[in-house]
Amino acid sequence: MGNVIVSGDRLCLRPLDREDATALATHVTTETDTVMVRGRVPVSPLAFERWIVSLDATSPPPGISVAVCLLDEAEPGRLIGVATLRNIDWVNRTAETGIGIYPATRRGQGYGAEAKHLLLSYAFDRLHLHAIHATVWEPNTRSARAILRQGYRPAGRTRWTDPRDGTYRDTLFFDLLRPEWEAAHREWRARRSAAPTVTDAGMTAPASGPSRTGEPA
Amino acid sequence: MEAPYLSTPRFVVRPSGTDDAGAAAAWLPLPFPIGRERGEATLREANAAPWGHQDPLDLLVCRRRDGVVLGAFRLTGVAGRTGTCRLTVGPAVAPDEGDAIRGDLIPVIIGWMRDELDLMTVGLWLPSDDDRSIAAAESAGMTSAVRLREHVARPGGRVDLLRYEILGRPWTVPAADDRPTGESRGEVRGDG
Repeated sequence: MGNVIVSGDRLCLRPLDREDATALATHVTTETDTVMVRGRVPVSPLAFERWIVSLDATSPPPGISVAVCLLDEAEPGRLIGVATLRNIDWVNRTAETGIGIYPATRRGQGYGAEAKHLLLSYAFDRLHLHAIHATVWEPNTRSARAILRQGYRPAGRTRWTDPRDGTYRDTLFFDLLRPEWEAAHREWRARRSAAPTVTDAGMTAPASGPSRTGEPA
Repeated sequence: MEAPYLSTPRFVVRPSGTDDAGAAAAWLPLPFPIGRERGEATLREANAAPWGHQDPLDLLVCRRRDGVVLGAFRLTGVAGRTGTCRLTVGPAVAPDEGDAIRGDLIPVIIGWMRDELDLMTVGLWLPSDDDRSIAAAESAGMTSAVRLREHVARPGGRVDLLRYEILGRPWTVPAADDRPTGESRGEVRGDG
């Protein structure tokens, strides 16, 4: 498979292409999970085309979004998600991570965890970032648990970020330093070696961020 | 073009214009050199929407005495009613004057965002070694909400990045009997 920037056991990350727009729009528009997003909104392929083209508009980019694709022989290259480094601070060497796995039937199979480890490997080993943070919308408890398993530490919460069901809900912050990721990565590799089917259901769902339409959380 | 409700005896807060293109080092929160031409393009992009719809919104901080641009506030998320602001102080500003900007203006800007823009939350990102800004934030009623470890590089080391925040006033919904005629549940307002 061409243009791969990082590859793992079952997945690889590659740049998004304009041809991915229809698949992404289909996934977002047919989303079945109502817990992980703050309200589903149908999105046109045209919007994704425009977004994908904009990813290459500036260099160095303020954010990097890449396709998460299967290496599986039965479905080689199938796009099953998007991995994102947003708000990259090239001076302070920090960024925010996000992973979205689509469709919902792919979640709970460890794809999100593997995609996140590939993304962090790219962030720390290729971009030489120093620290990462992530946000999770408070009701998305699966994502919060999964992020903690990956070595992130709780960093606080911002209150009242979104109203839902008649009350205000918070957004949780987590951060991760390079040594912590290296330790968590070793542990994750050991777990995968011991039990290749280990899953990480919480890694797969959008949780927070400016989008309300399934943007990687 | 001073915004009098955001200004103080020492400092003027105002929107930017093309005349500010040559002072990008003071108002742009980046360490890269930005010439006049690129500065003007950036300013035009940063002022694309009228009527208060610009997001992010950049407001310049100038010395009242001579009008020199010293820094800027960048407000984001106002449309979503969860605003965040960051203060940039230019690298040529003397430390005492930078501290004066922080002490004078942070409470004014935060108070305006909370009370006049009526945001649900107002946040302010600060390096953990910026004692003057932290004191100003606390004097505005803000409390520490998030600590991102080692997110700011300094010569010889790193410091944490803090988010201070203050909640808006709780909203209330008037009882149906208190609503003006024609707005109670079940009635349809006519157009004329």
